[in-house]
Amino acid sequence: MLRFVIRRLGALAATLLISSFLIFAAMYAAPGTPESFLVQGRTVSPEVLASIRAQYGLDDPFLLRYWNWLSGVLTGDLGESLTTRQDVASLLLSRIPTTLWLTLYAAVIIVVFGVLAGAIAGLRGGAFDTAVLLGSSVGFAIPTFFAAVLLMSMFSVTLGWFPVFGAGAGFADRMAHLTLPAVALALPAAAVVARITRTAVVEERGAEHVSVALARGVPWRVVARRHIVRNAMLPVTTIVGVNIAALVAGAAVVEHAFTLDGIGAMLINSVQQKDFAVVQAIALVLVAVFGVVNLVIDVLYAVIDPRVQFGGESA
Amino acid sequence: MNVLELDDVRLDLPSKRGDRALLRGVSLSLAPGEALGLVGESGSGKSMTLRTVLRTEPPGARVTGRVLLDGADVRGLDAAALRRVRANDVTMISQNPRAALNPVLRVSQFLVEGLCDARGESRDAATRRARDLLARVGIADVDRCMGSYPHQLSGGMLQRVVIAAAVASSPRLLLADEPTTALDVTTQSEVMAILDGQRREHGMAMLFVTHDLELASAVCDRIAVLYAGEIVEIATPAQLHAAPRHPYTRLLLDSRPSITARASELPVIPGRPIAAYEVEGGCAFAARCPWAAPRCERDEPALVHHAGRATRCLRSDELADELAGETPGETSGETSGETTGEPVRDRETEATT
Ligand SMILES: Nc1ncnc2c1ncn2[C@@H]1O[C@H](COP(=O)(O)OP(=O)(O)O)[C@@H](O)[C@H]1O
Ligand code: SF4
Ligand SMILES: [Mg+2]
Repeated sequence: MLRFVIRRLGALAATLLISSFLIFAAMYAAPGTPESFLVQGRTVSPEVLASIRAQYGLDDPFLLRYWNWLSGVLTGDLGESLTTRQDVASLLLSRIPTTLWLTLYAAVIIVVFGVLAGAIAGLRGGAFDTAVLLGSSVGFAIPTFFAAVLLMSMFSVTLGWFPVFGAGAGFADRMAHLTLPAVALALPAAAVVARITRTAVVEERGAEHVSVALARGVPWRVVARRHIVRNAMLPVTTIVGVNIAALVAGAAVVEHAFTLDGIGAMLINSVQQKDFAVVQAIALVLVAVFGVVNLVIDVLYAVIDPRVQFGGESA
Repeated sequence: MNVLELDDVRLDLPSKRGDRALLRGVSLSLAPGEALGLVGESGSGKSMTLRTVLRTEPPGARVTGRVLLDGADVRGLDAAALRRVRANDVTMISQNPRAALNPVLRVSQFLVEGLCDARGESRDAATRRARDLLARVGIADVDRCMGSYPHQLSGGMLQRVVIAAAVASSPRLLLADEPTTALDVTTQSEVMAILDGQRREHGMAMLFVTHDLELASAVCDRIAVLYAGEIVEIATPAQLHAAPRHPYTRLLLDSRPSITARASELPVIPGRPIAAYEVEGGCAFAARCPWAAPRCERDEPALVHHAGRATRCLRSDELADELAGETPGETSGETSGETTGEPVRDRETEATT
């Protein structure tokens, strides 16, 4: 188990290294130069331009610049924002709580509503099942930005139940502010998870060990919990994990729509302003989060399914 | 009173092309402690017959006739009473033990749940008894077995676990659906010996389904031969071997494989076995019967009881001598009953001592 985790952490480090290179190279190859943004269209003398280039090390060879950046990242120095001159690391830290709360909130919605609705639909069938099937089709088809606008106009503007903008302060206020964004963010993933949970439950319900348990006189609710839902959770865990990991990226659209000050909105702004230092840092954070969430899911999966052997050899 | 009595049990299953009959009136009875073999080709309805007793037939199936358990019809029970019957009175062993156990639960959980969740025994008592039962079915390392997941055990070990679970509640009736078919030959006889030993020890009646007439002859008091969803002959193994009264039984005996190489399915009888829903009046076996007469296609034979046995053939009286006669290269029923019976009984003593 420990060896499995260490191996996976090693693989994650390698992934991050490769991604960091790709991210850096992509910035390098992107159209427009940082200095043209820095001078903001003013005409400046070649001397000034040269001094700017020197200050940001823009004339160094590519690999040297990459190395300088990477060693900075490894020591926690993510550089300076080109637009605000602020330290990128502290800028990120100030933005992370909003995104963290938003994605956690959305993750809870996915698990509670997606898994619960799917499981009940699969176990009960009937009208509830049809409703879940229909609802999941709709939820999956609505684009996130459209869902955000729709939710805002319905619940904030028309009904006035929730605040329209901002992230709020303090736990309760924050939850109130983040409810609509989290719903908008969770909607497509919850739809997918509900659908897959339902399918898994229906399939598991037809398994022979389920009819054997019932034929032994084990009560239905015990069979439903211990044999059907529990086994159905195996495939569902993976799907939930992938969807939660992907939330971090989807958060950009939602934060932008609800003007939340998370790192997603920051990413969009930075891209628009060609603030390379910030974009690179955020991209790296996204890759890291994705990798860590997937690692956690894999470990979790191996814990709940005894047939999975850590290290690959199976009995 | 009989432990089990099936009285004209019919089962129809709706399909795209209308209702399909899978059982066409099965009648049989089991006395307390008796072992009845249910023999027939694949698809003849053996499993379906068992499923009507525990009411585990496919959803949508329509069952008519009576299934009496100690005189009470199980078909009319409400959910709670049915669950009590399943937990206390009737248990079933299926063909594939690997599919019968939840792959993500330990053997201990499987055994305990049948006593604890199904019967309301305390968890401690259930665990103690589960360990005891495993030891009785010949499992040497009980601790390891209790803590194992199904994928860590062999098929033979798993079937022992399933047998232990089946006898745990000391049921009145054990339904065994080809319990050894999925196992290799040596394990087959071991498992059979354990099953037979446990049955005698607990004094249970057993309805034993197999396509292996020899195996049924070795362990059963009486044998019912099933063809196309109905019983064509019931008799003791000795009666069957000495003088089969139905042509199908005769052909089964003639074409039995040698004892050393037990085939996985019944050996060839000319012609294709027909399904119950394909029977169109007359004798179901007429298309394959070497003794078929014109009236066999027209008149439907009834199951006639005579001298402690029953036969469903229009010509069984006139054919009696011919069906009982020796065919070249044929061993007599008695010796073949012994040859398969011997190793089973031997191991049984091993397992129970
Ligand atoms: N779940 C099912 N749905 C539809 N038909 C079935 C089902 N199970 C079995 N049958 C059909 O019922 C007939 C009897 O099956 P079964 O009792 O399993 O035969 P046996 O156990 O003697 O091999 C076969 O023709 C089979 O195709
Ligand atoms: S009734 Fe006729 S066809 Fe059917 S088994 Fe008897 S002899 Fe053969
Ligand atoms: Mg069968």
